[in-house]
Amino acid sequence: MKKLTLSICLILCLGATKFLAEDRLEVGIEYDKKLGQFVDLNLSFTDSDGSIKKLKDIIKKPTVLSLVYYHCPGICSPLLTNLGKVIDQAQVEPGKDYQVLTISFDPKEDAPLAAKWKNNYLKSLKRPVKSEDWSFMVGDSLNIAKITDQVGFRYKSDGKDDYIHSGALIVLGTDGKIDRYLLGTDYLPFDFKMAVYETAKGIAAPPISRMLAYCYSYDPNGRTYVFNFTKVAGTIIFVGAGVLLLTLILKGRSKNSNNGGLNV
Amino acid sequence: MSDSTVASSNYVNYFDYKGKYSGIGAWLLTVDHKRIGLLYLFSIITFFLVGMTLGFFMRLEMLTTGETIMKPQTYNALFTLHGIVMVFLVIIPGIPAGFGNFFLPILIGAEDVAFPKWNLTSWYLYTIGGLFVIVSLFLSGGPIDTGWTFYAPYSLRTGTQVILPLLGAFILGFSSVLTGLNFIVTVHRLRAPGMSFFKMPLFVWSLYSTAWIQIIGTPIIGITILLVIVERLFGVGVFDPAMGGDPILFQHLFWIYSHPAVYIMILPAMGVVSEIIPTFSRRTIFGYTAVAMSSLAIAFVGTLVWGHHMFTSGMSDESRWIYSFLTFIVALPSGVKVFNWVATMYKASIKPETPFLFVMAFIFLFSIGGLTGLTVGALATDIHLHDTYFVVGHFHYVMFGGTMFIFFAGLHYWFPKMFGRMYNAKVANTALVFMVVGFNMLYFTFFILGYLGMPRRYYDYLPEFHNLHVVATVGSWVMITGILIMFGNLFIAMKKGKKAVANPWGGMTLEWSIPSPPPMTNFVKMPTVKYGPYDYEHYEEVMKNEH
Repeated sequence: MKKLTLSICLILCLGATKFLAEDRLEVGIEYDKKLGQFVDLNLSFTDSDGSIKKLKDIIKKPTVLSLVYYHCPGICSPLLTNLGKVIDQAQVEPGKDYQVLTISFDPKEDAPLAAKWKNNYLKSLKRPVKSEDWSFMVGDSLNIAKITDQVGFRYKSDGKDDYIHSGALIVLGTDGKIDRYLLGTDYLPFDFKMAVYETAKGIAAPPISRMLAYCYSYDPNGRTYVFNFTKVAGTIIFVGAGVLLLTLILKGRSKNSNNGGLNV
Repeated sequence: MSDSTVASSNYVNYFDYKGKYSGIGAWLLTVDHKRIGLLYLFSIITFFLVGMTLGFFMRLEMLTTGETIMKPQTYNALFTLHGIVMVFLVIIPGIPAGFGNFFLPILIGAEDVAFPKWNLTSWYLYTIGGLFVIVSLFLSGGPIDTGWTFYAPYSLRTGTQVILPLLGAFILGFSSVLTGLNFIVTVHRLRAPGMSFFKMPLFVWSLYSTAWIQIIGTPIIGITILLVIVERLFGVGVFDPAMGGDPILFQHLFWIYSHPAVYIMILPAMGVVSEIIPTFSRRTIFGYTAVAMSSLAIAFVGTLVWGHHMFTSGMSDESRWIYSFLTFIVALPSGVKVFNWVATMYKASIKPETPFLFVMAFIFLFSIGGLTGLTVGALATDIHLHDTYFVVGHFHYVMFGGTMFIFFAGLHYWFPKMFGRMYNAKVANTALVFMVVGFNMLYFTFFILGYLGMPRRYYDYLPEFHNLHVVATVGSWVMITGILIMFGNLFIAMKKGKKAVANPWGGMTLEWSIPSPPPMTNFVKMPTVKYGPYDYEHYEEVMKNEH
């Protein structure tokens, strides 16, 4: 009976974890599901000058899309700063080979805030980038929900004013096809050039670097358990090795291993 | 001992010995360290050929830009498996489990290792671990694609088959610890009379140092692997940042083992070099104590440098320069070894036979590997070269040009002893030429590619890298030709080679004082040791005694 109960518990546990594991990703980027699919170009967002535009009016070239929110305390600023860096460094010409589009996924944010950020980032670039080549936009909750779903960008509210989310650049073709994800917040000029190159040719390829960066509430107390664990394991290993060495030294050579015959 | 075959009438060699079991059972159920050593050697060579084939297809894929023969996912699986097979199944066990098992007891004048049954158990664990890795290829989800380092959080999230190969690596760890423990106890307990620690051959010293790293380091990787498995199955957030875990912690735990593992790989190889050089120089090794102690020093300092794998993963500047500095210190004991080897050869009467030529190839390749190690060990240059082909070139020079070339040298050095037959030296030397030329075409090109910015593990590349990739791929063909010639030659020699004498090279260590192939109990008469392992001034006196 005990065994039966135990095995039922085990099966239930395994079932539960399986269910959790197969559920839709809560936070992160479902690049594997969305690659090669299309973003609806009829979605409309508000540009930093206050005008409402459909995506198809903006996307004229391969487009590097980033989803952030402007008052984000975490990874959004580094993401945009690194995007600016890679625009400066990569051997592809902004405005000629590609354009950049940044959309806030917080529906509470408005056009003047977007304008402020646009001004900031365009000024920090070493390369001359025209205003229309890097758009900063905001949108209503319906359009935001649609575009984030279409590119597989999963995030959730932290219950207060901020969001738990991850960072990536998404490269779209002129037809709205999702051709490449550059995951994380740090981009190599090489990857960037390759992504723009291949998007222009219409090649959809999986992301190269799969390290995602996360913006999450960090709990330093959570670490103590892990560290205690490593300390305990480490101590056991070293004490064990020490005892072994001591025993062997004290015991010395086995007297009856062999009695030896000849001189060598 | 005179250069004639010992009459086989007064002993039974381990090939002909009839025990409780016969046929295949005589091998699979044997507790004789020599047979277990051969079981290991054959399994290791088989896995080496598997890993080589994987590498061959990877290089073929890189021959042209875009798709050549496979899809990106297949390529990811190939480089992962190539790494797992070569590191965990070939290079780590290669010299200690193969040659160590066969020769450690003979070299210290023992009849067997301290725990013969554990010894067989560890071979079974090795085989089971290896099978787990192979079986995982055919299960749902497809072969693992994380790279051999299993970095979190990707290893926690990929849909491919991760748990089985990880369990495989876990079991291999047990095999490694058992072998290490066995060797340590053997060295302490079973030395022949007169065989003090400082009369032990240097190969034994290196096995002894390695064994300590194995038993201290391997449990750490075992625990880390278990944590990854638990996290995948039950969603406990240890390493996954989305669940509040720390991916950098994984890297620390992984490299705390895996960097010392680099010394598990190279130290026994250095030990074999310290055997071969005195034998073919007919001189005692220069600075015996320094060479022996440098093994311990490398083992010790090697455990403190793991952070240099993580210079770009997020680490304070202070830890970075400390790790960089400690990394440079490893060069000191390594330098002690190389200079002592060279000093041994200085003004010696060198016989440039096949094993010695392999060692020369090793010194050349390993020096390039070691010096480029300083390039990636230095902080400033590593930032540029991290995760490029330069690093791939560096560790192939060290692991392949270092450990594997010495594995091959050991095969040619001890082949007559193990099988009692001789191989064709001309063919072996030709194979070596092919291997060295192909090796440099393949991996030196990697340094240039990496310096120019070709990232490692990429399926595709920009057109400007094309020519260099062609050179590297052609190099891989030349090298593989050499490897196949070498194994073919040894295989033929095993069946049809001329009978070998007991001491074909004029070696002084104990294995050369017994017949080829060795008797079942190693020594016909048990030895008492009077002189150091390479005291060639007493050569005549020592070789009068047959064991």
